[in-house]
Amino acid sequence: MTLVSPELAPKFESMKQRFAQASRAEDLISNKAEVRLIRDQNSEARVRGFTVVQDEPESVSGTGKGPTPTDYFVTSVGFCENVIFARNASLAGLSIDSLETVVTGSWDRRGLFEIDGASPHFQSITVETRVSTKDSVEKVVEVARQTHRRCPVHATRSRATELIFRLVVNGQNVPL
Amino acid sequence: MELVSPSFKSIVEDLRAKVASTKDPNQTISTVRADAKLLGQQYQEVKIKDFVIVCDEPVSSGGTDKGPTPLDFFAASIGFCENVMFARNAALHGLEFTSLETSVRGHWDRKGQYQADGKSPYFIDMTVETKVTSNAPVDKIVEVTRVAHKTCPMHATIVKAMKVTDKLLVNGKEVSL
Repeated sequence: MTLVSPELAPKFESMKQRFAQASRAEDLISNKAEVRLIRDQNSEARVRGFTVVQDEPESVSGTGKGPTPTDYFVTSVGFCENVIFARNASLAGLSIDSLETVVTGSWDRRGLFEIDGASPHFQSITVETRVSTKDSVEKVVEVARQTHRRCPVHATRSRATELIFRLVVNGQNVPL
Repeated sequence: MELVSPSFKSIVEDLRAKVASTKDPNQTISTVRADAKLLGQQYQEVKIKDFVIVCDEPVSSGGTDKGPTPLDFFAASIGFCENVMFARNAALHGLEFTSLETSVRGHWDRKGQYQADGKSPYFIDMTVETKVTSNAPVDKIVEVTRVAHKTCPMHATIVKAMKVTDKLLVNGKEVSL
């Protein structure tokens, strides 16, 4: 069984062709979030008709009603990598039995209060792609490399932070 | 109902004191983690603590539209972070406000998804619009907004990666930052 249906390949191929032929005005795509503070550290975001809830844990003055903003950030990195990996796997004819991306990011809490002149930006992010497949390791490496280059969140954060990549195929570490 | 509890200021002051009193810089490094699992096509989940975050793509992009997209979460994470830091700094500065909404909008080139014409898919720009309703002096709101931007981990990260435009609206009117 593969996690991505074979009939998606022509759909992604068609998307690729459409984007390649699009005019400059059509190329630029916009993402928007409207985020309203509900109380103290709890906010709700409206994104394309969906409501997303955020909070801080009780230990840092929240009420624990949802994940934190930085939880959502690293989540967005993992989600984006998986979406693009599935598309590129589909185009390359790579079957996927399982796909999981583990993202860890580090930043300095002193930056939250401008202590010692520290900045709160993410200093490093590690992305570990874990794939199970019956296909060749070389094909997985090719798709993983393409994915890193073609993922919008990855391409963005690569301009801001140190990046570390790991690839695990069928439980074995593979050099990228 | 007040947006910020009366006890909030002392909680934030305690938080600041705790971080400031930590002598070992390694102890102030915070690490966050997400394990994103593909469940089928473009549908996936992340489990963080007791929360399950679901993500999907629209039908037009090969998904089933059961949740926000990765980029929706990316934009939302910036707005969430800004609100958290605005509320903390407002409490520290004694700024009272009756509503706070942060609107985040960014652009990127979808040709980059397929490396067409050698394009990269990174976000080219991002506009962060802070909308506050308050009877406090505008100068105080400007000060809190500036500090919120500087102390927000997401804002501090995106300014390193793209052009970021910050806007501030106080009681519906745009104010220079």
